[in-house]
Amino acid sequence: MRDFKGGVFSSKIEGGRAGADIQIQGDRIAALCTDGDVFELPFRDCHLEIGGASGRMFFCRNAAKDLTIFCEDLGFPQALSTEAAGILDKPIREILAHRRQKRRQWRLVGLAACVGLFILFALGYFGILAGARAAIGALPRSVDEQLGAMAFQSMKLEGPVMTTGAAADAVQQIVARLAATLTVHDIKFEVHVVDASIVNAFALPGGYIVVYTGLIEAAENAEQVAAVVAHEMAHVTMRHGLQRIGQAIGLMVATQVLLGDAHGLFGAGADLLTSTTINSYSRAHETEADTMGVAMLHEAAIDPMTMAAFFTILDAEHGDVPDSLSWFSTHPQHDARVQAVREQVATLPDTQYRALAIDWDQVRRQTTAPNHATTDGGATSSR
Amino acid sequence: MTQYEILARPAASVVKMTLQPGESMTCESGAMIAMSSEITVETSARKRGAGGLKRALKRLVAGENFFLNHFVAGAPNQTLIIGPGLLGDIVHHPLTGGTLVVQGSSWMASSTDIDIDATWQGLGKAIFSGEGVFWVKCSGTGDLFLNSFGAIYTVDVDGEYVVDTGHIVAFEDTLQFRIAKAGKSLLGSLLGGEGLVCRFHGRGRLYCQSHNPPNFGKLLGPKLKTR
Amino acid sequence: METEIRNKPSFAIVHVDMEPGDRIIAEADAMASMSANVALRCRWNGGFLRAIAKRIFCNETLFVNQYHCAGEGELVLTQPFPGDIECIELKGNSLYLQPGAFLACEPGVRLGLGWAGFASWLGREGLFRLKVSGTGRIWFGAYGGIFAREIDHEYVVDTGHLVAYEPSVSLRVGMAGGIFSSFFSGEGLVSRMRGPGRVYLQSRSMESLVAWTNAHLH
Repeated sequence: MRDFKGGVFSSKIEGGRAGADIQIQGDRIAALCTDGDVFELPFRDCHLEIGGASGRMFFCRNAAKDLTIFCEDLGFPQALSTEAAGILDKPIREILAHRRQKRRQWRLVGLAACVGLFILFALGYFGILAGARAAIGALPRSVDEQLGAMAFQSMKLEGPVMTTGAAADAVQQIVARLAATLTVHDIKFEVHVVDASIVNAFALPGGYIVVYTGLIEAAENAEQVAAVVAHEMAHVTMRHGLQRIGQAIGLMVATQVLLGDAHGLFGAGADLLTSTTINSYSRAHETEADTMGVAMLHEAAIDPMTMAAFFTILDAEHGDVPDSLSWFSTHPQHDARVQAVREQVATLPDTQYRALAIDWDQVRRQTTAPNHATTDGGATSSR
Repeated sequence: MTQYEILARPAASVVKMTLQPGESMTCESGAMIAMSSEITVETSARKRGAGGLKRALKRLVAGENFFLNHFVAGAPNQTLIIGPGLLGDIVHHPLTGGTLVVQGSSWMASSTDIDIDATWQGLGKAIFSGEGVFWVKCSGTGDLFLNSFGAIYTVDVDGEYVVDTGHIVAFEDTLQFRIAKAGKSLLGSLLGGEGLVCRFHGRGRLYCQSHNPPNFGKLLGPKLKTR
Repeated sequence: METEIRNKPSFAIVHVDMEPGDRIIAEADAMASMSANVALRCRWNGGFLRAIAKRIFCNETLFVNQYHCAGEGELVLTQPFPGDIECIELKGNSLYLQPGAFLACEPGVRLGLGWAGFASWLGREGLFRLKVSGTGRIWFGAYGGIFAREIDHEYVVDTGHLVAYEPSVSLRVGMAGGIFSSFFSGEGLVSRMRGPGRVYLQSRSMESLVAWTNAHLH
C-alpha cells in the first residue's frame, strides 16, 4: 500500500496545519508529518467530504471536526474504497458519482455558453465591418482630403521631391490621361515623384500619390508605370484608406465596449484581431484596385497587360527585397494576381491601344543623372 | 531646540511644535496644517539661511519650492502643526553644527537659522542615481524635520552600509557615498533588480525610507487613465 | 536567522538579522538596505522557462536574489506598494498566493505556477496563482492590511481582496445578492469560498485606489 501526499489540520500542531504522508492501514487512515507527529483516524469515525481549490480534494474528518486528513491524489479515493470496503466504499461512490454528475452539467453549460458567445462575436464582428463600410460611404470627400493632407505632412518621404524634369512631366501626363476616365470628378490628384531608389509607389486618401524614381527605373516603358498609377488612383477613388481606418476604430470601440478595459491577454488578443482584420481586408482592397486599375487603363486606351508584365518584372528582379522597399512585396500572391489580370483582360472588348507619347529612355536617363531640379515639398498636380 | 512631538507615525505623521517668542521655523509651502493665532507667516525667497535669489533658483531645481514659509511666534507657547502631502513618516534630526545631506523631496521644515543649500551632486552620480535625485545640504544648529513615503528608519553607520538608491532620505556628510553595483557581477545586479546601490563608508547617521515612490508609481501609473 | 516584520500594517518591511550559513531568497528589487557584508546572487526564478511564465502570468520578477552573509549582518526587505506583510511557516503544506503577493522565502520552499481557473479570473483574482510548498518560512504582502480567517463551510470575500488561500479552500464566484441588489449595492460579484482551511484577506484593494484616482482625473 503506497503513501499518498496530503496534509493534516489539527489543533495539536503548531500553526494548525502541516503536510503529511497519508497511509491507509488495516482499519484506519494515518498521517505522518514531516516532523514525526502521527495522526490516526479509524474508518468508523470517518466523515467524508470532497472539495478544495481543485474540486478533487478528499477530506476525512472526525465527528468533532478537530482532526482533518486531506489528500488530493487521484488514487486516494479508490485505494480507500478498496481497503475500507463495507464501511466507506458506499459513501465514496456516492460522493464521486455526485461530483461526476455536476461536472457533466457544468460542461454542458460551458459548451452552450461558448457557442453562444461565438455566435455573438461573429455577428458583432461582421456587423461592425459592414456598418463601418456603410458609414464611411456617407462621409464627404473633404474628409479624405484632410486626412490625406495630415498624413502627407507627417510622412518622411525618403528623398527630395522632383518638381521638374522628364520624370515629373511623364507622371503628370499619365495621371492626366487616367483621371479623364474617372466618373468621380472631385478628386484633385497630386502626384509627387520622389528621388529615392525605392521600388515603390503609394496613395493617401484625398489624392496624394507618391512614385519613387526606383520604380520608374525598374519599369521598361511608361505604360507599366501607368499600370501602377492606375492601381493607386483606384485605391483613392474607392476610399480604401478611409475604410481601413473606419474598421480599425470600429473594432477597437467594440473591443472596449465588450471586454471593458482590454488589458493583458485580451489586450494582446484585441490588437491581433484588429491587425489581422486590417491586413486581410487589404487583400480584398488590392484585388479591387487591380480590377479597377485594369478597367481604367482600358478606358484610357492603355494596354492593361502591362500590369501583368510589370508584376512579373518586379517578382523576377525585386521579389526578394524586403517589404516596404518594393511595391511588389507589399502585394503578395503574385501568380494569382497575374492570372486575375489576364482573365479580366480576356473579357474586355478588343480595342486599339495607344501608347503614351513619352520618351521612356530619356526619362530613365534623367532619373539616374545626378543633377535634376528638386525641392522638398513642392507638388505637381492635375485635375 | 524647539519643543516638538511627532504624531500618527508611520503612515499619517504630523509634527506638532510649540514655539516660544522669537523662535522661527522655515517650512516648505503647503506644509502648514494648523497654527495658533500669534504666529506670523512670511513667504520669501530671500531670508537668512534661505540665501538669496540664486539659492532660491537652486532650490527650485532641487524639487523644493521657490518660496519658503517662515513662521515666527509672537507670543509664548504657540503651536504649529505641519505635515507632508503624501502618506508617510516624519523624523526629527537635531543639527549641532554638522551638515546633513537631504534628498530633494524629503526636506520638510527646519529652524530658520539652518542654512539650506541645494547642490548639484556631480554629473556622474546624478545619472546613476536613477531617480533624478537632487540633494539639499542643511547645516548649522537647530531642528530639522524630514518626511518620506514609507516609514523612516535610522541606521548609525560605523564601517560600511548599503542602501538601494530610492530608499535614502538623508545622511550626515561625515559619510562618504559612492554608487556601486549591488552584487559581484554587473549583469547579476541589473537583472536582480537592485541595479546600482549606494555604499556608505565612515561614521555617521543615515535615514532610510521603507518604500520607494517611483516603484509604487510604476505599479499604479499604467492603470490610471491618460489625460 | 532572526526576522521581524516592522511598521505593520501600513509600511511593513522585513528586517532580517543574518549569520553565516543563513540564506534568504527574495524577489528582485525587494532590498531596501543591507549591511555591506551581505552578498547576493542572482538566479532565474525557478529556471528560465518557469521564470518567464511567472513573470507574464503571476506578476513575479524574472529573477530572484539569494542573500547570504559572511559574518553578522542585517537586511531590510520591502515591497513596492504600501501595506502589510505576513510570515507563514510551511511544514510540507502549500499555499496559493495571488499574483504580486510573494516577497521572500527560505531555501526549502518551492515556488510553482498554477492555473487558477475561470472562477478566479471572474472574481478578479487573476487567471494564475503562485503555489508555495515545502518546508520553511515565506513572506508575502499586500496593499492594505492583511488579516487571516479560518473557514469551514462558506465564506464570502469581495473581489480583489484575496491575498492567499490554502489548497483545501474552494473558490467560486457568485453574485453578492440577487441580480438587482448585486447591481445597486455596488458589491457586484463576490468570491464564495468554502473550507476547511485558511484564507488571507487584504483590507484595501488596488482596483479601488485606481478607480478612485481615475474618477478624480479630469
